[in-house]
Amino acid sequence: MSENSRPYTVKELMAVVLARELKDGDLGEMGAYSEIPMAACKLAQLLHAPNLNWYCSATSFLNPKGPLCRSSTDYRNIEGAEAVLNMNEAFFYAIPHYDFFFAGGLQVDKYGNLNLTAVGDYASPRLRGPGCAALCLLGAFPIKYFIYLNRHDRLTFVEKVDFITGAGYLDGEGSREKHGLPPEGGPKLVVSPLGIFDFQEKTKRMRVCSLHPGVTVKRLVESTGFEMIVPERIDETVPPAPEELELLRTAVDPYGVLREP
Amino acid sequence: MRRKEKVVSVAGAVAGIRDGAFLAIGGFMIHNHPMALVREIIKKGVRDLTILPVPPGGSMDADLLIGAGCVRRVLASYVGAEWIAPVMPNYRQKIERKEIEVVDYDELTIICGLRAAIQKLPCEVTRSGLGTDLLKVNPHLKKIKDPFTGAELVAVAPIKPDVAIIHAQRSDPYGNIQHHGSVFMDAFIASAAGEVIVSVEEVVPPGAIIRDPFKTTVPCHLVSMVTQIPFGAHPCSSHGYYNYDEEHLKLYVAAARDPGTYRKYLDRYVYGPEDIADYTERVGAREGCPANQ
Repeated sequence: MSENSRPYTVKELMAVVLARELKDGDLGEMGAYSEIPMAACKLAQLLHAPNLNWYCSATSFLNPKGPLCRSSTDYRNIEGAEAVLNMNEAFFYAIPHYDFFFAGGLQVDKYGNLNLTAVGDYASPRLRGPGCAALCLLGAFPIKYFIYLNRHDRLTFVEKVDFITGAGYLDGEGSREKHGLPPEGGPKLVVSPLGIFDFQEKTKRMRVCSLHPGVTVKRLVESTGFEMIVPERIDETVPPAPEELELLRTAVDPYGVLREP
Repeated sequence: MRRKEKVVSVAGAVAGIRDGAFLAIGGFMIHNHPMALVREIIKKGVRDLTILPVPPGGSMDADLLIGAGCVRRVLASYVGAEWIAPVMPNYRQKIERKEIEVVDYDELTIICGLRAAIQKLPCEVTRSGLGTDLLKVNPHLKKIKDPFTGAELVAVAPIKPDVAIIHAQRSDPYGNIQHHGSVFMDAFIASAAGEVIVSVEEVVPPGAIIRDPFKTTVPCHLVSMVTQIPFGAHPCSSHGYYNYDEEHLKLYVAAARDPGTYRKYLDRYVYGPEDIADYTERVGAREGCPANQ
């Protein structure tokens, strides 16, 4: 079986799903540990969004065009880059203008709040995370962002995060405004290995948008530590089309970063 | 009178770093960290450091100092190595066991704190942190009301490191630094810190810098000392010179699993090598540290 005719991996599916969400002309970035969002940006530019601009995390290379690297901060991302900002410039020339961002975390709760700091009691954590990274400022932006997670289980999808690092919809309807956060901000979508989820307009509770092929509601419920809104009719995530997968594997990710375990 | 040259030996570069100092460390994630200087600081036996792995994040630079027992407190926005170790092992273990103190910030509040220090302002303001638990755990962040609109904002107290250590690619003898690739926050901490120590792959003649002053990333007046350490960032990458050594990073993370294996790691790669040539021999860099494409 040739490389290109192998079935798509979950990472490839997530990259394609995210690519479809990106709009032509938008500007944005992702954090570290982010081969999936990088692939999504590159793919979107090749498919339907040639005017999309994106920065490679922290190196702040604009629009890299080389093969996908595992690390967004890898120097090899310089290939085809159009500009390089230092971090200080990035915070003042680029980030304030972003239309999208990709975020992850150790935990996410039903209102899309993220925890990257500490699981358990903050003073005596069961699991200390790497830190707040860019999540605090992301929560304070007037932009909707994407949450992508490599795990979907009861430890990750929790009723209430142990520590709010990234402010999503906090306690639900009206809470962002109460805390002085722009109401137009917050997470737009959550993409996990099980499906795509959005947030109900009024209550801001997480809701099923679609489940990936082969994923049942039973499996979703067993893997989620809170009651997710499950519509009566659930769509199946549209899997990568042959053209999308071909482009992903030849032009975006020829070294197969998204096909590694 | 002659213009002062700032090039010193490796030992001379860390001579002034005292117990209890507040140390900012340049680079980001697994790139451009001054790892040789970090090892030299450990060998010197410095204790009770407060360290600031500079945003957006540190990894083995901070973790090695923490693991070797040099650190009392870490100001952290992120200490992790992406897929190799989403959170660094000693940082994680010692915080969980309360053996070191962590002062959580996010990237922007650290930048605000550094900016306040640079500008000699009592604070800088941001919205970052509103609505999060960060405000509950960090006493250097305070909610204030904007005097014009009454809107809620976060004020960040100044963050002023005593020393910054940085690794870059080239310098002239006077401390004009040129990064080949990303600068990350190196120039920024050079401006905020009292003393600035830079290790470089190469010290070049002044003419090489003058040939392209646009490439100078840290001007000489911000730099106290320069020392030449080829492979000085290993196992992290040195943008434009060599890529990160994934195998060695994984070896480090695995060694941190228990004190016995970690001690062996420190003996072999930190306390053992006589100099950088000995170190590069031990890590197999002579056989080909992966070069940038």
